[in-house]
This record gives sequence, structure tokens and C-alpha cells, in this order.
Amino acid sequence: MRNAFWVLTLAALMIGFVFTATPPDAKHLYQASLLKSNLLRNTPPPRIIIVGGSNVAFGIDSKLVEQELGMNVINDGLHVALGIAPLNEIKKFLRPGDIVIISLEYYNFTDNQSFYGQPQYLADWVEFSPERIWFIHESYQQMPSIYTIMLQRKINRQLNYYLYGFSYEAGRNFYSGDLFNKYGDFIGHLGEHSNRQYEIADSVYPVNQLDAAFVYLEDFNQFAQAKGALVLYEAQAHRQTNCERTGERNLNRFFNLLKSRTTIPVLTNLDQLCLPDDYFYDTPYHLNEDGRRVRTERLIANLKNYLAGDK
Amino acid sequence: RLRTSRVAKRLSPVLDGISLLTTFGLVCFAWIFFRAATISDAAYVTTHLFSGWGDLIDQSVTVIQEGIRAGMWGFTNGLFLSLGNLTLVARSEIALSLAGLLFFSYMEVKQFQGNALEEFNNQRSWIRYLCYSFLVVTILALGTLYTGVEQAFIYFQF
Repeated sequence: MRNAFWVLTLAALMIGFVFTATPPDAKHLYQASLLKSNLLRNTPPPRIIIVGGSNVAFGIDSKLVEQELGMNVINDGLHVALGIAPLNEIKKFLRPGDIVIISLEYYNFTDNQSFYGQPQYLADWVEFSPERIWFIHESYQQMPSIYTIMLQRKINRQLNYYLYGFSYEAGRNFYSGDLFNKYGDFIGHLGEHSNRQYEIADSVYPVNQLDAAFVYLEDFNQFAQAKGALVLYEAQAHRQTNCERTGERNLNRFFNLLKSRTTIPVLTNLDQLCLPDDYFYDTPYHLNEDGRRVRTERLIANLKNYLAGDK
Repeated sequence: RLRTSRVAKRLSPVLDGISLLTTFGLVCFAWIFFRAATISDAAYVTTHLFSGWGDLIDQSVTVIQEGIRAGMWGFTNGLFLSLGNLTLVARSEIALSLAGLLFFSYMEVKQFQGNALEEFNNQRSWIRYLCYSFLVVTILALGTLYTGVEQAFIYFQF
């Protein structure tokens, strides 16, 4: 018993050393999550909070929305693999009069892990702000997994730092946490970088239905309404070729199911879903500069119509 | 009977090394059939085992030669770039795998020379405790129990 005590104590000290000696990567994409949390905490009402995966981060011009609607805008989009964990964070900072526009990706409706968040990405997200452990679905059950993964990724990252010539840049490409503007929009693909050519896969969008997802979304909607906030749903950006491969019937079925299983109004008209291939940057979810403008204008028009009709 | 000859006794370490490498090679060859998706894939791999090495070696030599000019780090970088032609695995995984291989090889040699476990148990308690703690941390850091990442066990192909 005494032996086990000393072994576990020494092991805990070693782990503690690793955790304190290896800070998060300052340019990790998730570094931007701190900006978004600060915006949620400090931005005064009235506010529009747009949340989802990278389709939101890449595809919204928040400044334009702010100018057209006269409300402060927070782009809380980051990465599809975080699932709805950012929504749980938003719950803490919701205020009366907030408008939350949810724009999840089809991948999130595939299975529970895709919806609630992939553990290895949640571990990175929590690493930047430890209190976020409480925003994860089934926090107590997930804790051993999240912290073990965090330990593994810290060691792995530090090793690669040494092996790639004292640099964290390996594999980062342009996905850097310091390429977000003050609204939380990702801008690393705009301006001088917009001319890069990427081959985009003509894959099928993974349209699925996950009952637990609709239950959660409706619960979130009820929670927000109780706080005096409004929740709306906006379709992710759809690339024309991928739309055709997926099929209009499958796409419509998803949104009809969303409308029947939740009371969250869907802003996007189903005939507006698909955008030309030329509007996409490097994946079937990421809009380039032109696509970002078109989608934002569409969102502004739909939101204005909804708010006018609501009154 | 081969090992009882005078020459064989003198060359015993070399023969041991050849035996080791032969066994290793045969096991690796057998694993082709475990890991291949189909018999055709396995047949393709076995009939192309020695294909493409010329180009790979040429590229690797070029990269390493260029790296050497930049010093020790350039040489290391060149080695990793060469290995990158064989695998997409990150450098940290390659380094950890090599470290693991070196450790186990060292333990094999120690066990061959004497009773390594008994020698370890005779060490001071704080050394043993450090080793046990390091083992616990290594299992956590390199294991997959809590990560949800599936690792295909080689015999479960069926």
C-alpha cells in the first residue's frame, strides 16, 4: 500500500510537471476560442451570436451584419469537431435580447461523438481554458479521457516542436489562431491569400439524423427563450457539386426533420441552400471572399425578414 | 550440430544476430497476409517487395546529403524527410517508436547476459519507485484506453 502511494504520488508529480511546463501552442487555431469567450463575456447587448463549425468562422462577415442590423455581432464559429460544446459555453453568457444563430454542419448529426464533440479536440479546447471542462457533455465521465488525451497531446506537441526544428508550425498550414478579426471571423483566407487554388472533394454531404441532437437543440432553444433570447437556425454553406451528389431530397429531408422536431425557426430557404463552386475556398464548407459576402448578405436579408415578420 | 563446430562457436554472436534477423524477417513477411485486405493485395505486396527502392534510396541520399551541409539538425531533418517517403506518421511517433525499440532491445541484451529483473529489484527503492512512476506516466501518455482511438490488433483481422 505504501509502495503504491509513493509510485502514484511520483507519477502525479511527473504529470503535473508536464502540464505546467508545456503551455498551449500560442498559434493553435483554438487560441481564437479565447477571443470568442471574451466577446461573449464582454460584448454589450443587443447581440447576435452566430455559432457553428468552421463554416461559420470562414463564411460570415460580422462587420457587415453589424452595419446592416445595428447590433453587436459575435462570430462563435470555430471547428466542427467541437460539436455543441460552444453552445454549452454560450448558455453561461446568454443575456435577454440576444439572438443566437446556430449553423451546425451535417457531420455533427452523424453520431453522439460528432454531436457532443470529439475528445481529442475537446481536450485542446479545454487546454486553453480549464473551466470549459464543465461545458462538455457528461463532464465527470469524460474527465479521465479528456485529461489523458491532453497529457498525450502535450507530450506529442512538445516532441514535434523539437523534431521540427523548434517550431510548432508543422502541419499548421494557414489555420492559425492569430488570423481572426475582432468579431471572431476567420480571415486567413482573405485578401492576398484568396488567390490560392485548392482542389475540393466532390463528396456527398453526410446528411444524417441523430435524435439526441434534435432533443438537445430544442432544450437549448427553451433555455434561451427562458432567458429572453431568440434562437434561429441557418443552413451551413453548401457547394453546388456536393449538393448535387447529396441530392435535393436528402437535403430537404434534413431540414424538414429539423423543423418538425424543434421549434427553432430556420432562416434559410431551401432553394437558397446551394452556392456555386466558385464561392468555395479549400473544402465544401469553407467560403472564399466572394462566397462569404453572398452568404452574409443572404443571412442579413433572411434575418431582417424574420425580425420584421416577428414584430 | 552446426553450432557445435569450432567456427560456429567463435561466430556465435554473428549467428545469433542472423537468427534474430531471419526470425524478424519471416514474422514481418507473415504479417503481410494478416494486414492485407485481400489475397490479391497480399500477392501484390509480396511480389513487389524489392520494387521502388532504387528511387527511394536516391531521393533519401540527396536529401540527407543536403541536410548534412546544414549540420546535425540538417542531417536529422534529412533522415525524417526520407522516412516521410515511407510513412505519413508524425516525427514524434517515429521517435517514440525508435526509443521503444531501443529500450526493448537493451532489455533483451540485459536479460540474455543475466537476470535483468533480479538486478533491477536489487536497486535502491527510490530508483525503483521512479521507474514504476515513469512506467505509469508512459502508459497514460502512450496508451489508448481513454482516448477512444481504435487500434487494430494485428490478430483481429478475421
